[in-house]
Amino acid sequence: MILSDAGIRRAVAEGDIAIDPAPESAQLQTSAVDMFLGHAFRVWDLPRLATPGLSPVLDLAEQRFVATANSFSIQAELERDGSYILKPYHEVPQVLLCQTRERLHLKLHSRLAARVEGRSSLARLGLMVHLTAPTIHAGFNGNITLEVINHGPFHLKLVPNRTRICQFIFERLESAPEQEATTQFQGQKTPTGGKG
Amino acid sequence: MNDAYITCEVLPGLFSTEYYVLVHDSSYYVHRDHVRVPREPQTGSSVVGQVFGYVIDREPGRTLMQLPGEAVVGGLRTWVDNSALTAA
Repeated sequence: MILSDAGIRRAVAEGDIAIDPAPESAQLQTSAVDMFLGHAFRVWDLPRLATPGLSPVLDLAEQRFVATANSFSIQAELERDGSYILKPYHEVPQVLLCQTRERLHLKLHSRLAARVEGRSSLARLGLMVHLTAPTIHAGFNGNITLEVINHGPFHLKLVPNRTRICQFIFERLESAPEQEATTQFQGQKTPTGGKG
Repeated sequence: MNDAYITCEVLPGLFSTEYYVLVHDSSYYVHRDHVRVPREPQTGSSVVGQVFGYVIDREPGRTLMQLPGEAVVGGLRTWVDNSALTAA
């Protein structure tokens, strides 16, 4: 069952969902919450991969993503205002990695999962915001990393804090996730020492 | 103990919000608020730290833990020796 805007508000009020910064009313849709783009952008180092004579083959059975990313991803070059202009994929075959401004916490006991999805207005321009990995599991706590590709004809300017890049859809689980003990989460301390 | 910290290896994440942590054969990107480190890890130079996790199940000597982040290698749940756990 997908939560409506009223259901999302209720889940936030009851502490099952935490979104930081808290969404404004205009971010709520009938069955989703729009999320803004964060400040950090990473791209694959295409000039390095295009070194003459180099023919890189990534063996998916052997590679370790963190090593691959550390070796071949770089911070994206931003515009003066902190935005990033994503060129059409047919011009530059790039996968942009970025994060939502908002941090999402789905409490493990909440019986909720979420999906990150694109927004139709951006999809019509050719913008994809994730690649086949939309599920956010109960218990997750962090910013959502997006894999962004521009399949359209335009150079798209992505502006942190202003571009509504994606939306979260929340779904009710048919039962609570398994956990060892009866949960008494209210008032527990988080790793940062705050209230959960 | 519903939650615990797991001794782990910690490296920088792709983004400043996260660390990359290794627990046995599994690895994860986890928000920095959930990771304790004695000093800042550097690329290629890990530190031993602790990552927060939910206790899911127990067997003698080991505990099934779920991490609150994104799995990179393995699943979100992994068995951990009890000796690697500290109460949260």
